[in-house]
Amino acid sequence: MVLAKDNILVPREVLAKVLGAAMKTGADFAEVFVEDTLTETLSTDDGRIQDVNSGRDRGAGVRVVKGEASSYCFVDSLEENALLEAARTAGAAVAGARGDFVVDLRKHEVPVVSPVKKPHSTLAKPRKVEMLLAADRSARAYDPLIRQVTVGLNETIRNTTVANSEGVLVGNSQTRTLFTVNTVAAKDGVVQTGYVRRGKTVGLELLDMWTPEDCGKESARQAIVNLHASPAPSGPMTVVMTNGWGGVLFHEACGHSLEADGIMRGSSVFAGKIGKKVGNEVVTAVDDPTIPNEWGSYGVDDEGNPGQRKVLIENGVLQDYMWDRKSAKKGGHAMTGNGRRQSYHYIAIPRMTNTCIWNGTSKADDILSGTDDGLYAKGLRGGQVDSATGDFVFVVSEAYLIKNGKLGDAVRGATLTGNGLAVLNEIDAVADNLDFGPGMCGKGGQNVPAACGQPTLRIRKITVGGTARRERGNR
Amino acid sequence: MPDLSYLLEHAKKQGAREAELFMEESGSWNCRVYQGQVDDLQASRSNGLGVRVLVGDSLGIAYTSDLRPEGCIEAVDRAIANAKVSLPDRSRDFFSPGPGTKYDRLAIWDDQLEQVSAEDKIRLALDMERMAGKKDPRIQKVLGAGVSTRSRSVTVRSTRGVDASYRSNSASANVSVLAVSGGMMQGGHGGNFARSWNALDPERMVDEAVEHAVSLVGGQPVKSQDAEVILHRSVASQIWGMLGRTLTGEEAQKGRSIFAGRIGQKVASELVTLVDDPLRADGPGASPFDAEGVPHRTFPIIEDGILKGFLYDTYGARKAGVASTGNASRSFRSPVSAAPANLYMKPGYLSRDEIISSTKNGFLVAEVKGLGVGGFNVVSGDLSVGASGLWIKDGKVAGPVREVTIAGNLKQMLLEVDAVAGDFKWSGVGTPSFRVKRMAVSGK
Repeated sequence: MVLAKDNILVPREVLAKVLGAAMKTGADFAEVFVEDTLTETLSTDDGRIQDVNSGRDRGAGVRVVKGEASSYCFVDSLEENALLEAARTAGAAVAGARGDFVVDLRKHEVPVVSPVKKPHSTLAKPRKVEMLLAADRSARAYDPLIRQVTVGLNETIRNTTVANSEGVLVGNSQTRTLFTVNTVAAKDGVVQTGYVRRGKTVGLELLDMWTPEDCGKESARQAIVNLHASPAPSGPMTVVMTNGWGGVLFHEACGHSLEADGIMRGSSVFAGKIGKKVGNEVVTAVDDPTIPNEWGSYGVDDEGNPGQRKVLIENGVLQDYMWDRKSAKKGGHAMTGNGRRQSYHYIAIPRMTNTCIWNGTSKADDILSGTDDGLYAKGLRGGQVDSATGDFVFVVSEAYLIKNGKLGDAVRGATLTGNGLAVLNEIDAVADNLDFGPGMCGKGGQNVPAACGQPTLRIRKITVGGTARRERGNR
Repeated sequence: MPDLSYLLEHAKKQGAREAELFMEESGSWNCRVYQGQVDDLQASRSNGLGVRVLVGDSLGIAYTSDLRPEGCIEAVDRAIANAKVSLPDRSRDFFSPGPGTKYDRLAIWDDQLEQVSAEDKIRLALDMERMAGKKDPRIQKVLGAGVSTRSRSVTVRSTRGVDASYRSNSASANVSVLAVSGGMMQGGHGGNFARSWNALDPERMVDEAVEHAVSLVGGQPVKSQDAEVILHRSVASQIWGMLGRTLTGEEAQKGRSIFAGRIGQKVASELVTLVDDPLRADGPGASPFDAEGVPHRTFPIIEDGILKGFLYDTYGARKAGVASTGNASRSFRSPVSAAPANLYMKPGYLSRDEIISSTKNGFLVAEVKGLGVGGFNVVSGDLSVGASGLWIKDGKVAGPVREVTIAGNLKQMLLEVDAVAGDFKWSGVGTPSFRVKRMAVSGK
């Protein structure tokens, strides 16, 4: 096992003192989260370099918990005095007195789940600019109807340290790279877009996995397909979704409802259903931050707990939720390493990591050929869900009609509307080609990197909202 | 606020032609209560510095949250290094204030708000939670109530002579409930933004949350059809908010706006007036100057349906050969770009009930899903989103509707606005509810 190098950002003695100050008023638990994150962003717009931005976010937050109440205070500083002040502020919210609290911090080793082959520093910035421009050129070369291209490269190195009053001390470092290409195609007043997003917990080897040229071309291809597509039909249909990012449907429509904070509040449709059948038996769903180098991977979460693979649903039966410290204490459950935060400005809450519908036994080709009539959703853009009801809507970024088991014409503007619980029962075929796509998942005002994945699968019946009728009406 | 002059000097010494510093300090206090107890309390102060430099005509930027001198110097050095890999662009320059440059005094700071005790804030949240639980038997759960106060101070300094600061503060509160009826659940949310403590109206927030949840619970899909659509102000606010950057000259010039090439033309019904007014102190985006220190002003974008103009920052304005409208926008972390600062749609004179009673066959859309995730294409105007709300038949509410989608194109929708309510509210963008003559509703 490869272990992370020692990167405790604040001396152990200082952390111990800060925890002592935080516990002084009689709290049950205190935690310090320290972060030093470096960000580099490069973007081009219309073949010109647009922004070159470098940033550093450096600071720490102190959380104090007593009973069910918690209090949090952060500072944009790692100076001992500032940290002690934050600890006292957070502690002041908990009335009472304990006197001195002494913690013996023991460093826990963190396994490296995502070794980096080409650190960001191995390539000079002008070379990176050249890569962005190569993606731009390849998108434009694909078709003269491509009018706009924007390319972005985002590099992040996030160094964190967690220490708590139970003696945990862990240091961690995550290196992520994201490459995006947006294209706009236009013809006769119709404007359509293409979007490619590639990201992993890796360094610049990302652009060996997908070259900038491939990314540019793929983005342009999507825009052009949509430009020539017909308006999507509407009504209930059978939908076949390809493997990869389409897993965002499960992520949004079910995944969030499996995060334990909602379960503890009783506001989730999955509350009280452990061991019960919640979906068709072909459905197995997993959350796993230990997949090497995947976008949502980590060795340890932002509360200092090791990341672990969790089977959420097995053959249609609900197995477990995703837990952070607070909800685990409340529910009398073990923490599952799902406590994450955007930065030291926020408290950790239960979050997904790499979440997917797991491989089934069908073959993708057979699923398509076994579908007489329906919609083939090759990509989803994203979606939104009402956490109380599980009602969702997703926008399909590239879609084709299915006629007699074969792909037909491209259609654009389709949305998928339905309900999370209902759709789990409607999935009737799952292939064996699991793949992931990167996203930024928002919850409670915090964005964290999360991968969504699935194999090719079929939803027997779901409401497709299209624009066909409206576009006809306008003519 | 520390004196940052040494950084401007340092930038010049390191080869910058011009340098600009954007410093932000913010304070926030939040509490969330649940089941009669404080569930979560957060109090923090935060600060950061954004640096922009011009080396020749090349721009480089960097930021840091580390305001120790070594942290700031590091940020300036990184910005200069970034400028050196950037391409020269003659339109790159910073704002030069003239002798006539003046900043308005706005009522965006309230001393009394800073004096409100934590106990009072917690009490307000607890009151809202308790009131919400008693309002209606169908409210099975109050999901929580929260109160927060914020303060923010901004300083812009540049080698061009800008030296400007302001501070603002605000309070907000919200409450969320869950209604259950016939085995179906429906959430409801009420919130309020205010510039003073007393302007928070707990009863109204509770009513808003409860009414929303109770009126929508038990919704069913309707048959697919074309119908009149009343966009509730909370939905309208999200749609206007997404237009954001597409209201800028730069995006319009590139054709990335539904308003591109339409200045002076009728782009909406005469009932529609859309204004960016950062001088309106009651809005969340009020401030005397923009992110480059350019004085703010009132700017009508659409007036009685006619498109008047676009928004510019200094760079976009120089490229287009016009003057900045004072719409440079940024946080200390982000690059500067043009954007609306305090956008609102002018309210009409009808009550929402009057609009409902003049609707024959329509859909009052109270919630939409999917806007920000591709359901609304701000370039083409195509809109196709999940919706729930109330069905209106012959001027009366016929019942709740959910799991349907509404689709149309915003260009057409704006031209077809045929009634605007007087129920104006700020939530991000300030807007009233309004009715669109016809949209496609897809259901069962």
